[in-house]
Amino acid sequence: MLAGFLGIGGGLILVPLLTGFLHLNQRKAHGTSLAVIIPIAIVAAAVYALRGDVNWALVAGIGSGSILGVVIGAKLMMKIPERRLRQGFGVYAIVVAVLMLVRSAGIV
Amino acid sequence: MSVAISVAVGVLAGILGGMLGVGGGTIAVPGMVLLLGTEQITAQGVSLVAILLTALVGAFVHYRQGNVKLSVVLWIAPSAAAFSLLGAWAAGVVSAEWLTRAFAIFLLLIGARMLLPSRGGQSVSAS
Repeated sequence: MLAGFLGIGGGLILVPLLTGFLHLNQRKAHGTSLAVIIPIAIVAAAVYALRGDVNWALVAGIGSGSILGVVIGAKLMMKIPERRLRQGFGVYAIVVAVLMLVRSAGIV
Repeated sequence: MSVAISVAVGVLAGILGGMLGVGGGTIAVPGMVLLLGTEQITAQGVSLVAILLTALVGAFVHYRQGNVKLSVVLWIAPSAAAFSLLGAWAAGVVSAEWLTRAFAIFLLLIGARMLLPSRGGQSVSAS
């Protein structure tokens, strides 16, 4: 539901559920979550595309970038401690959330 | 220029997606909205297609390594897809401002959860 509404994958919610309730290890949870995301993304992307809410030129840029990024990310993963990464992402998320709230309030 | 930015946003989203199992949409959507001035709903549509592409590649790699539990996938997928349909429909109904706000509030919660210690071992200085 969140995935379709907010345009995100759902891995943020799926991975903790899979490790917490089903006791999958981190690797299995990550792999399984990616497989579950496929039907979620197919359904949601189809709704957006039919409504005309997909800019295909942007898809080409973002899509090619992300596939490259996943490959780089898998290699970098060994070099940066996960705690650091989580902290960095946490700070990023809060800063961006505030920027988006300010923007949607029409101040900027 | 905007092509370069969109590829860069994609690379960042992919790196974090690959490392934390998160970050695909949480990087791509704000990246497009704040840096490229894309409408929130269009950014979400683009993000979903990009996520589909990376999930296909990622799931295939994990499946070959034996890290996909198919029984769990088959069990969760139908309801996940149904709710995804509901969410995608709802996104087209609410106003652009509220869609952006909902996204921002979700990001705030995620950010807070990332900063709080996740497992029992690490505790914040005792009060």
